[in-house]
Amino acid sequence: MAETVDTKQAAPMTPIAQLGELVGANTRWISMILVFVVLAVIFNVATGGIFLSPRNLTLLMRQGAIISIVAMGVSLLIIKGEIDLSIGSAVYLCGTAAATLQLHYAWPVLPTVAVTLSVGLLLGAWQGLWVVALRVPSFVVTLGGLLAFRGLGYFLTDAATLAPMSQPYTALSEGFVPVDFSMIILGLVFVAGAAILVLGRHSRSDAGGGVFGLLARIVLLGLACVALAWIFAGYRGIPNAVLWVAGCGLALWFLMSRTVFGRNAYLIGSNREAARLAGVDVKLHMLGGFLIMGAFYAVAATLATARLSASTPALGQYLELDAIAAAVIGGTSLRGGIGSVGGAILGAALLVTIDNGMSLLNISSFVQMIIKGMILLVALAADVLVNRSRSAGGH
Amino acid sequence: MASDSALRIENLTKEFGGVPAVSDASLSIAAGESVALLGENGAGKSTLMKVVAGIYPSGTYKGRMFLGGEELQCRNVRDAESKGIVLVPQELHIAPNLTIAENAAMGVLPHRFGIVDRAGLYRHAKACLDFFGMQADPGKPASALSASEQRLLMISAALSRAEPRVLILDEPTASLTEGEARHMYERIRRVSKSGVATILITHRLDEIQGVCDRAIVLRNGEVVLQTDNVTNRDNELVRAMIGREPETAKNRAVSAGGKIALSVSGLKVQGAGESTKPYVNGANLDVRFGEIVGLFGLVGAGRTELAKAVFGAWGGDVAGEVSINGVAGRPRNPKEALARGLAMLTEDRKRSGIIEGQSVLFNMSAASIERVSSWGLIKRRQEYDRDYGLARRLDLRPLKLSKHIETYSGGNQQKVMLAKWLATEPDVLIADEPTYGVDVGARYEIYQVLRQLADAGKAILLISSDLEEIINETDRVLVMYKGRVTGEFERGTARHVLMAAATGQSGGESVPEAERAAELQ
Repeated sequence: MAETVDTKQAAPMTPIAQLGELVGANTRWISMILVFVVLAVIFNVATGGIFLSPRNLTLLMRQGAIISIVAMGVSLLIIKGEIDLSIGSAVYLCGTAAATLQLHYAWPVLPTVAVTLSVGLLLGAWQGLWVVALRVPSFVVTLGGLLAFRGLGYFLTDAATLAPMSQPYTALSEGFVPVDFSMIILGLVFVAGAAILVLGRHSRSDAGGGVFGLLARIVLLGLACVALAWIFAGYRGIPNAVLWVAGCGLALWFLMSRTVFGRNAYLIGSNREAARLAGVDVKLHMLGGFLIMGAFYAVAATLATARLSASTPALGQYLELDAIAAAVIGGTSLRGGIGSVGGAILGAALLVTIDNGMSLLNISSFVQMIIKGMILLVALAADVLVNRSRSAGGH
Repeated sequence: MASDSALRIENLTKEFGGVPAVSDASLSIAAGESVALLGENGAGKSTLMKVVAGIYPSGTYKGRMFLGGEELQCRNVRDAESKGIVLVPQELHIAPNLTIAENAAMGVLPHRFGIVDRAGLYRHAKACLDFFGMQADPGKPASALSASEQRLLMISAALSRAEPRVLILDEPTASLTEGEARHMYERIRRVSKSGVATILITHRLDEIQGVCDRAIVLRNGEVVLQTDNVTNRDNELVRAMIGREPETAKNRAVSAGGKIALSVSGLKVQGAGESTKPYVNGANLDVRFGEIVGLFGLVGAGRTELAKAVFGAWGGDVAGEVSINGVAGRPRNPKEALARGLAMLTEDRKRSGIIEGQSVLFNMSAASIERVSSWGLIKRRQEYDRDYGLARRLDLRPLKLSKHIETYSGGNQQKVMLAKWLATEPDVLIADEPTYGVDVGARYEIYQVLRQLADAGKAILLISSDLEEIINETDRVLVMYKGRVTGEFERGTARHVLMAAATGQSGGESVPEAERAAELQ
């Protein structure tokens, strides 16, 4: 016990850590944003200014929407100490449901989305029940899902491509909020964000920053809004896909950071036994986690089918791997208990940036896979190194 | 003295991030001598010994060390072990699913051409078990041993690893009962007499008499006192450890207690679907509002199992009646127990108490987040204020709620755990070994809070293997033996009477002669 006291001495802070302290973000976020900026500059120079054009950035956001959605969902499960390997297949199965309704029954958009959502929730409940009631490890349950869901989809559709989807349905992902409305939305986002920062400053009474930190945070928020305004005004407004990500992200962020459900998710992931003894209903929370993941299958499936205007047999393939990679790059610990929604979105953004930049540079997709794999390894190794030096002299 | 010293440390300083954990410490220990290294948590005892044992390799500290006259520089733990320095850490790492034999030989599996020599493995394990006179099948999984038996096994396994010249034991008795501790010290004494310099890190003064020849006290990383004997110097040692006059136990009135708060009758606790002997077999007890009831017994008497069953946290089979606050019915899970006003400070802090990787705030609110939320939304300001108040009341040091819990010392972690249960505003609190691995200062604060709770009319069941604690801090003592509550004693009952009851010598139950002899060993 005594040694723990010895290790608590604060090491001299690095510049990045100081910056983080000031704006109230953690070191990992700052590093990720720095990597993002460096990559953007490199890609921009290499592509002769194409990468940082409003058009490409808008495209990039649309590409990133699907990964962001599932990365958020899986990060919730990883925080709880579980995993989901079935994402790609589950998204595909939801997608076939949507496509079937659109093509064979010509259903309107809203009922289609509602049924897709139900299918997603059903898949989430199915896997959640195996984990909670029968105590099968989620790794195994979702590995089963990975095989069975795609198999079921192929069986029901004869592995056919179902296309095309209706015009209003495609607009769910591919449409745009008109530019003037987009600007109003961004303005509102800035005002609401600044208000939350000002009003919420007291609840951070334990963390540093002060008035200067608050100002820095508001300025950062303003800069981000201006950058977004430049992108959206420069092309065709906010892509609808981005609205889905923002909506799901805000909802999940609120759930994870402001509610009892979210708080308990972190406790369960860090020490399940202690959480149980503290009166947390672990089973109920676990089932809730899988249901939320299920809803996110459906959202991702809707975006994917709308984007392709089809459900193809390859839909969602390897999506689970991208999702887990994004969550992990975004700071979610595979040992549970650590991670955030914002981190998962940033992680997804990094992955998509690398994809997009390399595609612009005509790098072969085979090489892209190699590079993505290496990035995942380097990100994790860097994480281990940082954590080790932080707890140096410890256990 | 200096010439024939087995281990000599000169002007050793070890810093972490510029802050010294040990500063300018010098000491020497002769072969065959047994020395107590005393100090509060954070005094630098463990750090100093980790330097000696090569956990912090040479070059990471300032100062010099000599082993039998030769300068000692270790590159790592293996290096130190090969030179005869054996450190038995406080936290033992046991693989519960591996066999006893495999655990005993961890890291030094006997093998021939890469194939494990099973006969040698079992011979080695048998020797390790015999060293402390334990009866167990080396082929059984290590989880079959009790916590204290596991500790004894790891000590003998560590000793068997190399020809020891310096033996360092870090809080070896933390999970042992008095009888087991005495038994262990007898063996250690024998090892030490054979020419091994023994260093015992502890903060239990009662147990060093008759075991150690000398005492060295560390405070804030400095050697503040070295004595040449340990008899009747408790006050002097405590003063050196905490740097001020120790608080004397006040002669307070015994609280008679009011209405019955917790009542247990005919409780039977068994492993799930097991036909083996139950852990608790027909236990009865009452705890009244306003009193602290001590529950004393040896490890394995069934105290923790009883507490878990009452709290609804036992995984196996339970039968019997429990009534909380006048309402009958056994809680089915901890959630229900908490809702009915029962809280339980768990015994195994690291495993089932603290939630590592999370902040003090999250840990403190873990059991009571609903109380500062409405419709599932956390009222963060209210949560922070409440937790900050609790942390202040318990004198958490440092007082910072955003820090991760694992960065705190054992004593402060335990304060957070106590705060976690206080936040649920319980009527009845079961505290299972609340001062295990907790330093003197924090112990005193924990006792104070427990007493305040009782004075405020709450009922407290204090489970402990520490006789001092049982005698000084409770109003009434219950003794458990072999799954039953076999005796009830007034406050002020002599130690030997309690000990006799805990070993089955009284309490109205006849115990076969041979079994009694085995218990007394």
